[in-house]
Amino acid sequence: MTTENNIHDHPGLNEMEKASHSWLAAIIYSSDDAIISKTLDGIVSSWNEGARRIFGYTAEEMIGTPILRLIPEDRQEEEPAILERLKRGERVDHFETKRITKDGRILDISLSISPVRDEQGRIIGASKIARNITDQKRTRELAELNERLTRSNDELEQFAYIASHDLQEPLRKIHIFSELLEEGLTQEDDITKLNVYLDKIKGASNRMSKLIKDVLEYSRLSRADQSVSNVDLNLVVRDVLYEFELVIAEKKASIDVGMLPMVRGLGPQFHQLFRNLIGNALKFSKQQPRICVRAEGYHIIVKDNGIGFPQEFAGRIFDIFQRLNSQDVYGGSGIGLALCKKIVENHGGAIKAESEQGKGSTFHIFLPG
Amino acid sequence: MDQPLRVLLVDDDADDREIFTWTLNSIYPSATTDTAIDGEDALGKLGQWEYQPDIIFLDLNMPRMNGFDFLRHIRQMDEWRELPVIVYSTSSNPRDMARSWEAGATDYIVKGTEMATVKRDLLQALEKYRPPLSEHDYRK
Repeated sequence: MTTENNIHDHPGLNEMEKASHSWLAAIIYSSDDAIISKTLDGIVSSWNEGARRIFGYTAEEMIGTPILRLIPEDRQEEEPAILERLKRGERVDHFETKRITKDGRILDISLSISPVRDEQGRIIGASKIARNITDQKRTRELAELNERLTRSNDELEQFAYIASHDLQEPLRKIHIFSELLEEGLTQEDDITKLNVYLDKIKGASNRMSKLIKDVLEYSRLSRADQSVSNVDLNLVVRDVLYEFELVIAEKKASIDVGMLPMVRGLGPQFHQLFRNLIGNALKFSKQQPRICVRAEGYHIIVKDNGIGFPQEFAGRIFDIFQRLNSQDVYGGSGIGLALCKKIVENHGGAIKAESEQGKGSTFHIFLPG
Repeated sequence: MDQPLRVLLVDDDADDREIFTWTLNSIYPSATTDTAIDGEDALGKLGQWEYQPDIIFLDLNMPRMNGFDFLRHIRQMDEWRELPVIVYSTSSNPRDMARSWEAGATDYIVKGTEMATVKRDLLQALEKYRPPLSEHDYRK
């Protein structure tokens, strides 16, 4: 039942067809790709020179033996699945998998398999073209790795910046106000003044621990060990609002949430995203906050009536540690919006902001559908 | 006659403004320290009639107008081109230092973590950059 019958001697073929078949046979013989045929029981029925070069077995060694010999132990279940599809007449295109050579090397292989029919149209076997993509795959993996390394280097640089700047600030205050406190104690200064120093020390250490927490949260975003699932943004926003219940009541904020889409992604990250955006909208406000969350397809809009920011800062506000407002009035680590940007980009989307000083801000999130 | 020293500190951080003023007064009790909360506030002060500080200490990371933008801005004005402006920042990042030089800083001091360092740095900077008396008189 081989497909490599002696096609040249077929009585129904004219000279031109015979010549064309000879060409085909020559192409198959000299192809760099492995071109193999097998029966529906998975027994090899033909084996070209390319197959010998890739897998190391000769045609004599392979023909009549099970194709499973090429499949690594942890992938043996692939073959029955492929055979099932073939029996239904389906093709398998550019299926990337691994195969094992005669001398035990594991290769990355791209497989295209099509059913072979007899003259009555019955499926009698399969032809299989296997391409060794080990080098290509290695190159691609290296390029990806390289890109990840570049990104993590950039992040490291930002972290070095934290060490040199933002973490130094509260530490410096703790040190200096302790000295002033010490001096005040020896000079028996006014107790209320000493209490002010103590409050400043406590304030600085609180800022420091918030900063460390936020930095950790930011760095965790790089880890890819969370699982992707369908995330209902309606539920995410509901949970976030629940978290802010007290602040919302205290500030008498009104919040209007429209119907939001279901997206693919990491649930906890979307939670962080909306927690930061809604948290900012509640924080950066002088009057009663009015917040509106809407979606047009996968374009999500978070709008508030807060203090806003000058439009020329719209690009910069997503940079880590870019604080537009005085620490004295609106505390914050300067990481929140950097975190939002990273989350949206992790999901293949984009985020931008528009505002006019004093007239509220609008954040646009574009997610891939 | 010697005029009292007039220092302008531009810093958005209230604690730092307090520490600076306190330290400066402990070195030069007769000195006047004016403070501005960011670049824009400082520009407003400089724009006031006959306001002429002897030296400016300038923080970098500030809302509205940061230190770099402020420096670039005043260095374009004839009046303030030669005024000693000492960048006074928490950042020890070489990139911030390079950007400060480019923008026209006279010197760069990383804010000290101890009172003794803060005092020493201010003293050194003032001794080095405070204009000599004659020039001071000349400028009225």
